[in-house]
Amino acid sequence: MSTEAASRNQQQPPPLELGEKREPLIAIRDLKVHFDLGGGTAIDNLLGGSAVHKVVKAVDGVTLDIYPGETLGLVGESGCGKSTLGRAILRLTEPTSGQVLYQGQDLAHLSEGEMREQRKNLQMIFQDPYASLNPRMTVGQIIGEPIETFHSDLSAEQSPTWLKALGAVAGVAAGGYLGFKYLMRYSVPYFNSLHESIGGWVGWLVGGLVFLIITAIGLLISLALGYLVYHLIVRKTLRIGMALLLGAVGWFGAGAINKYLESRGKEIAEDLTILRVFLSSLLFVVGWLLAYKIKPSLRTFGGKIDQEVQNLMETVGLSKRFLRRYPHEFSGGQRQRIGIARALAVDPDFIVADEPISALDVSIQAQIMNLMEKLQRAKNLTYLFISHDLRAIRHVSDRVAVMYLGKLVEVADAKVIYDEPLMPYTKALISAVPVPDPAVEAARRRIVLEGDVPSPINPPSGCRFHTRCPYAIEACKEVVPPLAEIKPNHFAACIRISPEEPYIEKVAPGDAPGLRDAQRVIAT
Amino acid sequence: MSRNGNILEVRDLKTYFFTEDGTVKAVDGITFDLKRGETLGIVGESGSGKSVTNLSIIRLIPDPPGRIVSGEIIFDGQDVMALPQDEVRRIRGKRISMIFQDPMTSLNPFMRISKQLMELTRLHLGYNKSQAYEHAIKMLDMVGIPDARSRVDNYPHEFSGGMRQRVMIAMALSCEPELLIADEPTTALDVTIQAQILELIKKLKQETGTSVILITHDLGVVAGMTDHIIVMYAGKVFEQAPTQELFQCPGNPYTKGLLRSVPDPTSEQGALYQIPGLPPDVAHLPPGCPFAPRCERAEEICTREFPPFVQLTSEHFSLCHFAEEVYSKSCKERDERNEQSASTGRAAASENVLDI
Amino acid sequence: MARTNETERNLGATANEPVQDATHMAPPGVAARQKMINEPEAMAADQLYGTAPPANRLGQETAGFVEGTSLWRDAWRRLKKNKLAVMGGIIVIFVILASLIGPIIWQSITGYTYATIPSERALVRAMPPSWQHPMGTDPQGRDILARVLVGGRISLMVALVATAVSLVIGVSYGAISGYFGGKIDNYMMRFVDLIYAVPYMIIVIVLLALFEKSLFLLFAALGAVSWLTMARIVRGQVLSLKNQEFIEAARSIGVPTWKVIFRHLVPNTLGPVIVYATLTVPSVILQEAFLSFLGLGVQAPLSSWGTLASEGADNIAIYPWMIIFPGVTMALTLFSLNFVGDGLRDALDPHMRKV
Repeated sequence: MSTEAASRNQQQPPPLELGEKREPLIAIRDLKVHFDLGGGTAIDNLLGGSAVHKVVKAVDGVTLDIYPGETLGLVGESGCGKSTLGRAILRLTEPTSGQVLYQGQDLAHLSEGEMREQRKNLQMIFQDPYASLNPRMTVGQIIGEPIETFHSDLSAEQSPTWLKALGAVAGVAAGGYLGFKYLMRYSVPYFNSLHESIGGWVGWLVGGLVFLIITAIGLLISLALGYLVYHLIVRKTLRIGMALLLGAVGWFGAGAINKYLESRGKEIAEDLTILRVFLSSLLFVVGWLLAYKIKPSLRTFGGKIDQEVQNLMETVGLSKRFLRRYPHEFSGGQRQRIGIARALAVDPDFIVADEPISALDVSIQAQIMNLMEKLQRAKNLTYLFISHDLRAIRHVSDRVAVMYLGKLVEVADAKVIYDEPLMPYTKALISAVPVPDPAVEAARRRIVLEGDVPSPINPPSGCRFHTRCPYAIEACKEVVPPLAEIKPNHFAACIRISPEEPYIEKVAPGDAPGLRDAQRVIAT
Repeated sequence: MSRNGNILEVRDLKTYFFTEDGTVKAVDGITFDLKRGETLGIVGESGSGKSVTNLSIIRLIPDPPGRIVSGEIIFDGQDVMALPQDEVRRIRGKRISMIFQDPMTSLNPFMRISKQLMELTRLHLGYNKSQAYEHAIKMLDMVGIPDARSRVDNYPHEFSGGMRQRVMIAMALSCEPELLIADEPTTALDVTIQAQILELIKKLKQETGTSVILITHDLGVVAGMTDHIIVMYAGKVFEQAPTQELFQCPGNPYTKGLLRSVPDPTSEQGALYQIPGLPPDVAHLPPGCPFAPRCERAEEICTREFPPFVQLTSEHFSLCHFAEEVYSKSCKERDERNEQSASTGRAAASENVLDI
Repeated sequence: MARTNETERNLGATANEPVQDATHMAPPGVAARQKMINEPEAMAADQLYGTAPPANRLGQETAGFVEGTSLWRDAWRRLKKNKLAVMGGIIVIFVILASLIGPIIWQSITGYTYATIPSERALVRAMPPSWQHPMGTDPQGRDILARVLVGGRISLMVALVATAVSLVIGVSYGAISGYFGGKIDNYMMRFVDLIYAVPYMIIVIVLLALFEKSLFLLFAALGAVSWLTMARIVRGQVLSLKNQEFIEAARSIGVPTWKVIFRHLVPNTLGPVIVYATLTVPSVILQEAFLSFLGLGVQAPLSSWGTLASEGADNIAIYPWMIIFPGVTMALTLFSLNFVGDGLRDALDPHMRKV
């Protein structure tokens, strides 16, 4: 218990024994994300559920440093946990254990509120440009929302104090009035009638119960009304103003009609209330909608936020005239630009880009990659670029981390890992990339792996790759290979290679030099 | 039988979709021949009409809103357009078969694999139950599903994505079709599985002599697989050439841009070339060349006049006002590249790197 | 090249290199020059092909901004093309207006109200339709047109209240239940099941037996059950929406939970909600008619469509107009509402959205 608390309070990331001496921006330490699928309990057996307890180990003990200003590419096949890792860093998925250290804070153990505060430094670009933008919001609202969240003082909707006070008074008055009317009209009479008609203590009990229920409902309605009035007055002044104005016109108009009819000797007193309610509520809605017509900028946040949003739109290459457009009016590439602008809105240090180009057309992919690079230079951003597209990863990344079934298997500089992969899985992965050149395609030899990626539920023992690895030996089934520094700044997880024998092709059959020197490896 | 060894001849095919927003000319005049045993790659971005071409060939265009407006599709000497529906149905699945992009949705989740495979052979080849069953096992074995006999009665969800795509291929090949149309067969799959599937298609093609049309957006996939390539953009054929030629000296600015905008995993690059702008809306095309607004070579004429389909060599065509100029320029570039790499010996080095 | 630049000028392209490349550390090599060539073109072309064309045609320019077309407006455009729905909508609006101001006008023209019993004894009988009484009168001599108009008021009011309750309570309840999921969802939905399980008629009858009959009770009884299905529908919607990336995006930018629910989730469930609400209205009208038919609804001399039908049914053989006119009016309204609901469903259908 005490050790756990101590590790939580740790201010400095525990230094890696090997590797870079630079200060990392994000230090991930033994991060695990497990999803409990349930099963294995007595009830499951009874109801025909799974007999064994199933846990998906999506991320299983990842230790990784991300340095300021770099792009770290994270590759792997689907289901290897790369997206989960990205999400766990940002706490969009709750980590099961481990640490994510950023500026001396462990993100994995922050409270919900503290994490919300940190979100202005840590942002995300999503994969699907069609699903990641709220279709009911304008571009101005989408990009402006993070600014509004963190700098609400910039919003034009922010009201002066007197308006707030007015809103509060009006809210309390409206809620109180309704509550009182309700109490007098329904709660009290029902209590009385029940109490009298049933009589005795049963009468008190039943009456009291009904009184409480009815009063509770009434109270809720009054509170809701009160808050609504407050909120409307404080935040939506023009809209509520127009609505109230027209509503009042309806209310008094109905009265005037009645007066006129009365003067001609006809009465509609009985109908007056219905007419009033109907006319005023109709005109209320009309007024509300009219406010948008009068001031189209209500479709955005207005004020300085809109200024800021327009700057961002220009930054990502969108015309700022599209401020009030909706996402469905843009193409995939443009939507991804909107997503990037939203991520940039709060000026973050670190951005997780989860397959940002996978859903885009080839000719658009290049645009988005170039844009991201340009922004990185201009704003000194750090990216975690997650993708299964090895060509794109090669292009954008400074360093590349390869993941297989929840574990990192190789980390090195991009050029190095593509020119000289060490771990057999990485070798196969890189050899499988189709090259857009028939000459090269004809000349090269692919390592075609047998079979599929095993399920992350009950992954293979030992080295998780041993089921498909052409170089696997018996020991691979038992020993979990640690991520070790095989060459300077080149980490790989394979027991069959070591700094002395980095090339697996040259290792004697059945030999595992990586097991010999246990000092060299990082503990998993 | 077929004339001059062509299994498929498509002449000036036009498939339009009549929608609320206007007429979408999804495929607007595509012409090509496919020789027996050859592989044709159709490359294009989304909305370029490559999938509609495929559906037109097997007459599966949803009507309404779509309709094949004109053109000839001659399959093995027969005009598919002139055939009655049930005749076409007999060809479909038997002599022409398809593999679709998403192996998750192309199989009926409530039917055993065996049943889905048997259905085809019983229908098209008239097999009885046991024959069809044995054939199904043989097919699964052929596409490399381990322990086919015990897995043949499984349901689709018991297979992984790659395995399902293999099942799809087994289904497609079970009637020994003369033409296999693969529509983005590997897009939904991982790289290592993609490699498996491509190798498999290559192998099966050699074994059975099937002709293949491979539709993809990935230039890397077609580079190693095809004999000829058609590049489509906005429903038009922009370039048509033998694979080697197309990659080495493209005669169209679009192809050229596309080739340059794909990051090359074999070498270091600076900033990536980007084709500016966005793919056009096919329902509202500009009068001139549809690529003109994004083209770096475009001149005033391009926005005014629709470009000619220029023949560059006997098998190389390009839709561009400046096709010859672009072609000769990229041929010159190729020669320079070759000279350079020959002098520095970089070619050898890069080949070594890849040969891992 | 020349042409592109011209386009750019014509469009008044905005600043082309907006990112301050001051911190640009890479040496200005070939790559950098390549970029500078590319970028302006990208801008110009973006503006050329900046939009999907339908929006292009609809979008008006105001103060330099291109106005967007929200999905609501898109749906409205589609709805307008649906002739049946438009017809239905017109009829519904006509019925609403007729029952709201119809009695006033009818009274000011003829002097009849729903409760007017003629003073001349000779007229106190059921009269078939005539120019004076277009729908005839009932055995007390009351004008049926006036009673149908007032009855529509009650029926529509009941429908309105029940729908409002289902909108306010049902939508919030369902959204909260769906968003939080897990245990909270479980308990909240079991509560809904509980209310579902209690026979509705028994609740109403007990309520009406305990208290004096009043409109409020009728509203309360109908409102108490009308939100249940709505809560389930919204919960289902929210369950599928909450895993969408834009919800995750909202969380990733630190939007507070209640805002995620009411700004991001609820507006996106409104399509099915509106459709269901339109279809709730007829069912509630029918329920009210049913209750009134059983004598549990509004009390004489006030009328609703249900009581009119009930009275008419008693006299169907002798005075057929007493059931024909209220019945036809009600059927017409319900049909129209259903057409509007169907039209809305087609217009708001998310599958249509994908181009």
